[in-house]
Amino acid sequence: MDNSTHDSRDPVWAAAWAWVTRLHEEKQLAPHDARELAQWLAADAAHSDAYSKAGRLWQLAGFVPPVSDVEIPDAPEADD
Amino acid sequence: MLCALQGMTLGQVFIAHRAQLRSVAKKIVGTAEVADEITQDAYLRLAEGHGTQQTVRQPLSYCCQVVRNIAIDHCRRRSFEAKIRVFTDDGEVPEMPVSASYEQRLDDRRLIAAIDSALGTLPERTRKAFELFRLGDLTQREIATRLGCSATLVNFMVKDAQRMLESLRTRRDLFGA
Repeated sequence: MDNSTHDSRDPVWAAAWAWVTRLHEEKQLAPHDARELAQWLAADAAHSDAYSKAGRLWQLAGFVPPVSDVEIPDAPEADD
Repeated sequence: MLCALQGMTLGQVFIAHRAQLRSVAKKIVGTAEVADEITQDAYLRLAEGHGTQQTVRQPLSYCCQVVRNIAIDHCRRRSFEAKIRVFTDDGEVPEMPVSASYEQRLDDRRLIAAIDSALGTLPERTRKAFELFRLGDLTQREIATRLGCSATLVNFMVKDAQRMLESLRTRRDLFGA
């Protein structure tokens, strides 16, 4: 699957998506990265729009019930 | 024992474990007030249905998934707003609601169903790798160990799943104009 055109066609979306997925992996951004994200978000309304949209897509993917056995962190034991 | 939960609706399972689920939220967001709002939002979403054709295999685990997801997203949006606030000087930033409105949840369910369908077109192992990454909070290396394949392959699979998600962004029926 060649998606090389994808990033070049919409660099704002690609950047927004990269930030959202990076936040998922790193939980907490290092201060200089957080600053970079803040500056990027504030630079253009299109940036924060794309970031909100990417964030929503990412969040809603987290509501889909899994088809495989995934241990959800912190899940209480079903013991009753 | 899971069987005890099988005859219950998600809403009933949630209520039976409300205190534990609330503490999951509190651990993530810190304050009791916000944890309460998140717990309530999660309950409404679960009681109204998740929007997909999937059967929920592990109801309590799924309740926890929903609570965590709302709590984590709340933290992400809160830090996002804090960042905007620092770098713009128009002062007034409206208070961010913790809970979604009924209409918002309805819109969300439509998008959740579309995401489920999109993920359903992926090979089984690819979807599993993505679920471990997105829901199980495992690193790609941990997923590789779990699935008995290389980290490179996991990286490809996770990227494939992400591209599938990203392709939905142009759907006007889901995102408006």
